[in-house]
Amino acid sequence: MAAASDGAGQGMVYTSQEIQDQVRCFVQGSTYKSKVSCEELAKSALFLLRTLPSARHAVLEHLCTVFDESVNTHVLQIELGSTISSTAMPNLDSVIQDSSGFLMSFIKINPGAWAPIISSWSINLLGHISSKYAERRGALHASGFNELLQMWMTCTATKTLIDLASECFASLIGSSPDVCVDALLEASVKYSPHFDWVVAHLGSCFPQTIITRVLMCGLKDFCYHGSSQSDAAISSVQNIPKMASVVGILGHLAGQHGQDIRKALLALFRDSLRPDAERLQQSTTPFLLHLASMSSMLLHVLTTDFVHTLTPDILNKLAYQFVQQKSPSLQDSKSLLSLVVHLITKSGEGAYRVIQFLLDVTDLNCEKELVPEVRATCAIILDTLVLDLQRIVHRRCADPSTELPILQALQSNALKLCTNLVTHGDTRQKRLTKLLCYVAIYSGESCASDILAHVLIHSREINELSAFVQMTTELETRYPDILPTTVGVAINKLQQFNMLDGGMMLKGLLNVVQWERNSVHQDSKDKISVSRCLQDHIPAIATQLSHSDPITCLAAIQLLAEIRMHKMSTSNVTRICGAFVTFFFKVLKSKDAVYVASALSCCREVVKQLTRSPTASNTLLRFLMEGATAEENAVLLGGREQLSGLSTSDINQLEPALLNANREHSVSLALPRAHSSVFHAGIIGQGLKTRAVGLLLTKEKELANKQAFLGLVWICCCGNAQSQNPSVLQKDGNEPFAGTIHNIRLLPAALNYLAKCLVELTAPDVVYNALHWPEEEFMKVTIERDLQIKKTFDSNPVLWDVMDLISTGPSSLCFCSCIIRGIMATLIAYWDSSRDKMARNSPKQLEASCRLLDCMAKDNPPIPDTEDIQIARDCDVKYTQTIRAVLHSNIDSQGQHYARFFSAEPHQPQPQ
Amino acid sequence: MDNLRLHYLQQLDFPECTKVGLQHIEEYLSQGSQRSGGGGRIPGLGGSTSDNPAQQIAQEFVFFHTSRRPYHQRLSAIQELQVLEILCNHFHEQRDSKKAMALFDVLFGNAGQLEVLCRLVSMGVAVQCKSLLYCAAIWMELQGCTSPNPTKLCKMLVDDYCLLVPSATSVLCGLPHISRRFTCNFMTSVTSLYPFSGDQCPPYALVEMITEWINKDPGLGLVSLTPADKSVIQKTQGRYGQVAQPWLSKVQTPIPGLAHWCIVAPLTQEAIRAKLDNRHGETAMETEHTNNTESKNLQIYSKLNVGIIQTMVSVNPEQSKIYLTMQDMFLLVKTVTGLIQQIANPTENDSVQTALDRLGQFFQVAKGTGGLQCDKGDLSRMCQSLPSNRFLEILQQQTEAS
Repeated sequence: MAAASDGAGQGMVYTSQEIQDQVRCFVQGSTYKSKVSCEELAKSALFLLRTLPSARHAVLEHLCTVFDESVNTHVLQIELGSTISSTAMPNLDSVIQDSSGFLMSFIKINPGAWAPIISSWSINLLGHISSKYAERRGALHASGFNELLQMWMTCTATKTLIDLASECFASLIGSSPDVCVDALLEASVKYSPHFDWVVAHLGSCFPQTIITRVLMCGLKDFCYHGSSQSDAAISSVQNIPKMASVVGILGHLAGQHGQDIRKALLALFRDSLRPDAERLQQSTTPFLLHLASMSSMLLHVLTTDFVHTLTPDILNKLAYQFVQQKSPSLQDSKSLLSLVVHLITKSGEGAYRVIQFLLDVTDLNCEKELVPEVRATCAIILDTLVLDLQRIVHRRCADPSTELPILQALQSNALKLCTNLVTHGDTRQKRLTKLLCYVAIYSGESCASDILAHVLIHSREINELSAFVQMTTELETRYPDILPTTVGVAINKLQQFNMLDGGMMLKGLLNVVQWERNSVHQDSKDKISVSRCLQDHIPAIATQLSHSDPITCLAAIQLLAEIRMHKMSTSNVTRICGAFVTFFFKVLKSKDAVYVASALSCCREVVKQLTRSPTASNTLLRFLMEGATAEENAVLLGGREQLSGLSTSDINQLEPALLNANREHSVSLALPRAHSSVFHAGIIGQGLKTRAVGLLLTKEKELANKQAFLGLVWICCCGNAQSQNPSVLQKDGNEPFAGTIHNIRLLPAALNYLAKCLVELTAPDVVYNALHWPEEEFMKVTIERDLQIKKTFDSNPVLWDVMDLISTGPSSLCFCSCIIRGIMATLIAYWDSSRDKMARNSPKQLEASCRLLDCMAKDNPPIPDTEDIQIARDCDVKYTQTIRAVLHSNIDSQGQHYARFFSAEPHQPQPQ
Repeated sequence: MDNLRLHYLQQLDFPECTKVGLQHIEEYLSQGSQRSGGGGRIPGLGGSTSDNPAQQIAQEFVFFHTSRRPYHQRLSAIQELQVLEILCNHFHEQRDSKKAMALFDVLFGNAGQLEVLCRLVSMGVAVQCKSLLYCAAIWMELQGCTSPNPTKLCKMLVDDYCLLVPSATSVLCGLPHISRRFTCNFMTSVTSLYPFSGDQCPPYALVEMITEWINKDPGLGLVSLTPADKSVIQKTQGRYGQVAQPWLSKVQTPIPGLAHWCIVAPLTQEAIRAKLDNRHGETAMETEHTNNTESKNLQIYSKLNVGIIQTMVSVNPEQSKIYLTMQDMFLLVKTVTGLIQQIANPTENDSVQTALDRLGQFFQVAKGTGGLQCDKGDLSRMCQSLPSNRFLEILQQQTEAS
């Protein structure tokens, strides 16, 4: 450095002879003509640098070899593990240091003149050295970028060079940064991969300047090449050499200075939109687009950050700029548009935003003040994009390895897009539908079914329904089984815990099913339809009947009513029936007449569907009966609570909250570790729960409820018969019970079952339940039971109606004989002890007697088609004596009934 | 014979072949002069063909511009330095200026090797090669000192000695000792290089140097007025036949250019000051710095002005050489007017008055020493577009009175 300082300052004047000598010495030394020592050579080189300006090229060239040699030594040392002692090239380092000191001082004294020379020299030399030694073993094992940087930075020569270069940059950056950046770019083009570390190092020294300058240089180059070959500009953009190195450099800096790059790009873009932008700046947008096409990193910036800046105002400006630009040939703008589309297909993370943005802009409903051209262009872009995607996606079938980043990115946002589809309706539907289709096709069946399911359960309007249908049609070509999977997914979602919009989801399903029913397609049997798929998920839907939200329940029952049920396992049947019956009684409790009406009509439909299988109809009957006699429901069907014999506080407990709470658990799937049942009787400290005041029903309501209940029971008993004669049901579906009963054959088996049910529910014990009429003495034994039966009938008057129904069967009433006997016994006992003149004075008993006789009259004597009944009819003579006597005395008027009671056979009164 | 000679040269290695090649060229030239002396050759026809053997040798063995040796297509910078050294030595040893000029003409006459020429001259300055610089001076005159090629040469010299290696400026200072003619032509070129348009001022070191030269040796600016030895140019007549004729009638001197500098400098200074005033937020140190350079500049230019006047006065009126035309004057006035328009309130501005005073002086002295031929109305036409200046007014009155 000492030599440098006195050399750089005002040195002494040298004679021409001295200079000539030194030139000779230098030339001879550097061309190896005569042996000149390394130090001497260096000395004369530096001397010439100070005194003979025209020799500087030669001196710098000489320094090149010095640096090169030093690097060579360094690499050798690395390769051989420093077995070469430093004595072999002893003074290279000091030479390097001296010369770098000189050059540094030159830069400091007159940066304007020296910095461009030295920077281009050092950069070129660095390029040369790094590419020359790149293949060497020592450099090879420094495979990583950082290791390479490390290796070169430990080498004195290269470190000195890069210091010189950065010194030049530092001094030039204020005045004319283009000079050094140009040199850097050119070197980067020339020595491409090996030179990267230099770019990275210099770039990280002056990130801001380098980035902006590199961009500017790229822009200039782009403009130049673009204008010189405007016809084929776009196609040949890849051939502009500087573009590649611009991208390369930015790529290197992206890691540490991503934010700077982002800012620089944004600033470039913003500047180009200024009203006073130059022609150069006006081609910024195409330039940026081309840049992005060459680097995914830049594309990422473009798609994530730039989209935010594209406000209507800026879009309008852009449009204006493009119109303004000198003769943008049609060809040009077309290729630019196709580039944009291409970029969008390549975009990753930001894809969703971009699509969203395009949709927003093209949406005519949005109230942004946009130039029509912008809107039209965006529409073209979007349409082209959709077409492109279609092509790519379908071609991808042949070659599944093709990556399509946009679809990959959209995959994660697919549900948001779906929501978009649902919320924005018609305007964007067509494009979105297509787009979603391609996302679905791209990302495989499970995702496809997710998307479809989302659309399905969110579709409310006919538009969305059509979107669903369109998508299904499109996707079925690719995934034939998509529909069942979709339905499965939808149902799974339904069962997710705390799913609040279950009602909406069910409605979506309902819409589709209804549409399917009405559409022509339904006729083609082999087509998979949603409703057919839903058949597998009936239990899941049925559980929704227990949902606390009446709308959800209604939707569920409506949906169930639409589905044709086929054979199910017993457990499923039990679950469905249980849920259904609970729901039914819940409906009866409701005060909303419209709701009740629609729900009940659906209930009937569901029962019709359920009773296709005898198991189901039996189960349903049993559950219905149990429900009807359950004390919380008794009131609904005209039961009198005061007769229940419970204490007043118990009477009010019409809605056992705990039971309801537990029932609601069945709506959702039981999660592991989650409690699946509730046990509590109140809140600690508040004592027992206060009970809801029992509801009081009007007579009409009671009647209606009863009718609804019996209607269901009746349908159950019809069994398959109804399907043979559906017209009857259709005609007066509202009141199936009234009047038509004798026109339809009820199933004897069902009625028998009903009868047995009734017995089971009313008779408290099994003391004697045989069909045979017991001995008279035996009646005394069953008094208590008889009273019990009577009481049950009193508190559940609907049982009379049930018994009525049973009595319509040919022999079913037999199965109720113990009940009949019980009630009869109670009534006889009453009438025996009654001292009233008129039977009317005890109306309840009278009514009960009438109803009992009515029932017995219908079936008694039963048609003797079984052995048991035959025996049962042969009752003891002593019981028939009175009747015989009455008939005898009134034979003139009642003679036609004699045959009913007494067989004409001679042996009839059997002597005992 | 020529082929034999070429073949022989091709056998030689690099530095040798250049040395021998130069000798061959000289031999050939001397033969040629004998031949043309014998009247065998018509001037203007023979010499300029490219297949001239001398040219061929120069291209192939001095500049190595040939397709015949692919491996030698470009010399490295060190080899180039070697060639320069050989050339310098050769010119140094060549005492006969005629021969030197002939060689120079063969080498650089068609200006194809301007780069090499620039470096060679730059080196010649450093090693004080007189004959080389003399040849260069003649070359400049033949080309026209303000034409692009000589200007480029001078720019290179200024860059080398004033900007890149300030420590070597002293070498350039000794230029008049090496070749007065070259110095004179150098000044002419340099003044056209820095026309003071915009902010482009000549480097301070350069102005200082020129001022020193002129003040020390007032005749320096007029060297080019004495025509060069005709026999020297004769050799090159073939090439420059057409150019050489006007050269004899119209000679370029540094005087108009230097006068231009002196007159325009205060105005430019004023413009720069105005610009600085507009730019606020300057630190006190910066202001001080600019003030310092300003006063330094003013000083140096007034010194230069004195030098120019002295030069002009030193002309022997009887010899009366015209070194200035009215065309030069009008061009100067046009520039001055343009600059004055940028300055507010010009009549009361000191710088403007200084400039106008100098203009007047310059006009007066030039006219007085017979360097300028003008009509009566010329001065008043000149003053039309200029703001009022007392000295100019007096001059006008004098002219009218006479």
